[in-house]
Amino acid sequence: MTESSAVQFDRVSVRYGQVTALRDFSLDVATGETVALLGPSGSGKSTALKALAGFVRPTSGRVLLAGQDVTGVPPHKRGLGVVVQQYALFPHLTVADNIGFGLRARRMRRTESARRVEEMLELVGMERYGRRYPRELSGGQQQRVAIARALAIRPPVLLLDEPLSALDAQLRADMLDELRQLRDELPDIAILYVTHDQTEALTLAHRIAVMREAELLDLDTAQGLYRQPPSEFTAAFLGGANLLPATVRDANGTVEVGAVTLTAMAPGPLVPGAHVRLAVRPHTIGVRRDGPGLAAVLTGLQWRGANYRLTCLIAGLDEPGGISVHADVPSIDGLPRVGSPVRVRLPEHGAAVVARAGAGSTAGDAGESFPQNLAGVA
Amino acid sequence: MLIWSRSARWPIWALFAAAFLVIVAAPLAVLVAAALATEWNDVLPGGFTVAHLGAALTGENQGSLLVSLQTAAVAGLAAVAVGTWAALALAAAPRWLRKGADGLLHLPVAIPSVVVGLGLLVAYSRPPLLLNGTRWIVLIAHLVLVLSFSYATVASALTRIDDSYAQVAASLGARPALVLLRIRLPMLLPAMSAAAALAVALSMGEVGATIMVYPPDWRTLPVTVFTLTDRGRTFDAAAATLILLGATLVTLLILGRVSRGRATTGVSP
Repeated sequence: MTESSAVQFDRVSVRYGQVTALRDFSLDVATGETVALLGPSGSGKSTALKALAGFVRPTSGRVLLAGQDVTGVPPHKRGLGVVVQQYALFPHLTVADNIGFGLRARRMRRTESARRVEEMLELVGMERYGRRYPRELSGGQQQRVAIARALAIRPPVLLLDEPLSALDAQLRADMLDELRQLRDELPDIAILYVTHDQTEALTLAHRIAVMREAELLDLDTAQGLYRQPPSEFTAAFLGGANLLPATVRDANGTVEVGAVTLTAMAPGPLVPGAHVRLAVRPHTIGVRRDGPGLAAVLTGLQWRGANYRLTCLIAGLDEPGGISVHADVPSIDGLPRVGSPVRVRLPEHGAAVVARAGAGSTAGDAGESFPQNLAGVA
Repeated sequence: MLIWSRSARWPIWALFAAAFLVIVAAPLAVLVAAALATEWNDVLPGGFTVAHLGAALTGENQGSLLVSLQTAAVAGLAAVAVGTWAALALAAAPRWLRKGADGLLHLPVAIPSVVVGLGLLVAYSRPPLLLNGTRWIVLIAHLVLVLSFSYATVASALTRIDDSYAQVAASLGARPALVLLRIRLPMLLPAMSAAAALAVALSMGEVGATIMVYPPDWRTLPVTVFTLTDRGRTFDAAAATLILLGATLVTLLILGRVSRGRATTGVSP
């Protein structure tokens, strides 16, 4: 734990009967830092947030706020700002009363509380909506009110539990921008942001904690995790990387994928001759009718507006049945029809050797030849 | 409307109207006619009078009406209070306790009211709980009979209120009592109003258990109606029934207004 840790999870586990919702979870969040808990449903990310807020009691481990153990402290004494998925705005109170609820609960004087409410309404651009009821607001406006309500009590830590998931795609993008601005305006607040959306995590978080099956799998800066994913799961979940089997040629990152040789980033010196997995992002892969590259068959094509997503089945590569890879290309001019042979070109640079295996990652499985933990990395 | 064809709708409407006429409207019309009749020896009543209605609003009958209103008010309020408390307490209770208590609270629905009356009579006829012959045994009987419905109404509304409201309120610094008073109860108010309306309606019409336990000084209007009918005073019974109907409707309208006023801000039952 660092001295400026606003939040510390110390080997926190939460069990509901026989089900473990969070296992041995440790994480520090510094003051002014935004950490995203990213993972699929059931990965334990919301449970971690609830344990911090005091909504669930850890079965073991400690939760610390500013160095103080608050594991047994009830939620109303923790002083955290919480925004939940459906906002939970109190329907019988006006927007102003919702925002002022925490201030009144803390027995703040009416005049001071009214001033703080005005301040918060201004912060989220809702000055004219103080007298409205939540049902009279749009989804985006409700979200702003929920954030204003959480910030009104001036919490040292703000917890956001999938705050954008109830919004439509366009509004979500706008609100993401607003949240980023807000984050920059609040340098003294530690933010824990729970999401299953990689874009939100990459946009907002200084660091991302990837969760899987009730455990913290990987923790690093957003860029670090994206460029050099430590595990297959993170490579696939964050950016949807293809995972290809490769053989190390030298310690500097030269690897072979089938007959193709390329230079990959690696978390450390590689062991020549070792079998590793290579994370290759779909947008870095080229697909041509002919020329150099791995022989494959075009098996799928989806138009996605800005680009096309191609699915190609690469035969061989020591995988029975071949390996399916995704490629995002701007144009399909010159490409044959689905079912025809194509050549898949891997990037000469930019692919990354994944240090750890993990079942159920993406196209292509780890296979038994790929050992757990630091495979091929010295 | 499930039937799209316009021509097919008419027979359905006609069938519904005929059934409504025979089952609901005709008995009510006969009741009104009997309450206002001087005699009824033919197909239609013989003459018009408001004397029966007048009698229903004076003397013993008026006393019975007041007893019914008081019983319904006390039993209704108690049922909503106990039902809401039980629903809130059981929502946070362990699963085994919740299931057991839920079954117990629903038991009076399955038991005939006469059995409830007999049970109370047997249970409260000996010291130290000697309530037989007092108004309290009537109030308890009504409470037992309407509590299930109040509890069920509030409990079902409570399941639709997400825990996150109370959790967020607590995170903002509200102690459990404040969360209950400022957040949970206001959000349950529409359901509580509906529960009160249901309890009052059921209590105003209750006769099965009451007739077994009522003391002479606490006779409800339905019991009076029963007694009048038993004595062959059909016109007076009809008039008393009409008054009972009117009083119940007015009470429900008042409760309905409270419920509607709050329905847009909370969770309806």
